[in-house]
Amino acid sequence: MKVSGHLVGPQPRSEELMKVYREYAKGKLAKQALDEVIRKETEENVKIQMENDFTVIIDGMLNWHDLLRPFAERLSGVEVGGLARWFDNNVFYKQPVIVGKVERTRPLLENMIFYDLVPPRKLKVIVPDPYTFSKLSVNKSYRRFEDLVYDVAEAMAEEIRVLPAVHVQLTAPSLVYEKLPKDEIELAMNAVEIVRRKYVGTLSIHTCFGSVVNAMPELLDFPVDIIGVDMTVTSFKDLKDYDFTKILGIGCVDARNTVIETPDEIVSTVMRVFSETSVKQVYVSPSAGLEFLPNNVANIKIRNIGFALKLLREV
Amino acid sequence: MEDWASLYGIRFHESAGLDIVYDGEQRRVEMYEYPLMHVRGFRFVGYVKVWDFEIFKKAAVFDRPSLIKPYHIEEFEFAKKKARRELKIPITGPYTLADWSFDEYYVKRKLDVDDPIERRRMSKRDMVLDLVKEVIRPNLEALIRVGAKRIQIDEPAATTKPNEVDIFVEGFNEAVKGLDCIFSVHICYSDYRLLFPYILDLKAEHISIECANRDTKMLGRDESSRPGYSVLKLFREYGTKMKVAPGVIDVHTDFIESPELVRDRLLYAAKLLDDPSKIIASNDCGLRTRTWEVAYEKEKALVAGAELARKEFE
Repeated sequence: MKVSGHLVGPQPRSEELMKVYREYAKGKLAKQALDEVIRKETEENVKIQMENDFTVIIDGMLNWHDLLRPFAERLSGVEVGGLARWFDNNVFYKQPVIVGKVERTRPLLENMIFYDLVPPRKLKVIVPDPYTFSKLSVNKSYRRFEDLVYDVAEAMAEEIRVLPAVHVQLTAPSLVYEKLPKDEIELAMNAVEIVRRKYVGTLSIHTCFGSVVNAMPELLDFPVDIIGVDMTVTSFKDLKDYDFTKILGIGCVDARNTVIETPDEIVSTVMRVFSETSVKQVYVSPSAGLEFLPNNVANIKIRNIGFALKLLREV
Repeated sequence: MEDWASLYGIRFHESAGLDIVYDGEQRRVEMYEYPLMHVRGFRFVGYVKVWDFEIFKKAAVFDRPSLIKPYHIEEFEFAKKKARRELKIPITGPYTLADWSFDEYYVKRKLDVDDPIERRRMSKRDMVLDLVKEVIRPNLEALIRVGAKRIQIDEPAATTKPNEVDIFVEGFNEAVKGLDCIFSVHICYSDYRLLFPYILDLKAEHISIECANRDTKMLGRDESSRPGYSVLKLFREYGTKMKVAPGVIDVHTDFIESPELVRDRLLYAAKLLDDPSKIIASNDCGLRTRTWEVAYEKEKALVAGAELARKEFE
């Protein structure tokens, strides 16, 4: 039984940072002052993950307005479009609009990650999986959707190849939000394969906002080391049906509700996974990025994961 | 001060020439926070992001909701005294109040339900129906008692969860059941395809939707100039009986629509519904993110464009 812990998406901005961002947007605050607050809060995000002995550390992504934005802004052939709903949440993202051939003509995540604040052998970076990015875009250029997915995959693979990260997560809600045709899942898998070929570190895929059953059993064959599952929308009984040979990411801490899972409850969920499924190794996490919660609630949830990890490692 | 602001809002709309007016919700903090300030069983837990820099103060339900007191009576009574045109009053609907809140109460009562998606659905339904019974209906009844004839129920969250659209419809219908008033529903920035077929059962006189935001600024009454209105085909295909108020004014830009653009949007919408009498000219949503000056020009264009459209049928 091997247990690790990590975060799987953006951290919430504190009320202070939200206020500062709004003042900056209105032109009442200089960029430097905004950057200082982001940096200070990034340090706090790193600290709380370190204190709770998370296996890998994200910087919190406080400067990302949404998961797709850096890519929408910086990929050649892509423009930033209008607002669209982020799955079934009262949260919106700006849709990438595909207006030409998608290419990486410059670094995509330059100045987006605080490399200097995360210990180098711990850095985890989170990006959208190529299929999800493509699916959530408005395609005005490609005749065939699969050509778009493959070009996005090539561009992302090149970016990921040069990242100094020990762990890269592909966030893939579009794989599970609804049941996809088999050929779509295979397309998504082929796109991940393009990334895999260029990245030697730990590669994970995290599914959220839909039951993992929607992508099963094909998801088991994705060329990744960790398959992350949103347990707030996936039934336990559904996991029992499959033979897991990869590490399972257990998103058992609800990132979208303020009910606090106690350390004992987290431990109990993890133990149930070990006892009722074929899983041998797990990463415990929230169900998605904690960005849906107020900052103080998110911190309580992180600490409880930390307590649970401590208890589980004693077993 | 509140009375002054309310009067300003009423006269603002009247002066622009609107047929049906309200005070622009001048007394309210915001459409979610304001109602919940008057409801027991919720506590505000902090701000969360909606997009980019936009945030809202989100509450968690921790007990069965109960109304402290009807919260739009003062607003309505003042507006009723002052308005010189037909008056409406908007109220946030039960599904939106539920969907925009954290659930620390209902979900705990359904822990015996193994399927987490079904557990969430059942919890949500219980919460919506409690909000209807304890909060929304008492508000509607109180408004009708003091003379409200036209109430708009705002449900921007209606399509947030595709497997809960029927709960929104059930909540709406339970809220208005047997009440003597004209009810409409406003749903904006949504995937309207998800409303079907459930919306066919909605007991509303009309549905107000956002379309201008998805449209071009070109004049024209064809599909390529009017992509924002294609959803109206669904209303016709399904034989929806309600009238439709498609937004012909984009509330998120300072671009002032010309009366001719408003006219073309309305006429194209009428063509898609195949019945001009079922079309109501409206904004996409509230204009609170614009300046008063921009908002006024937009409202005047709405009125002038509607007049141009009417003339086509004379």
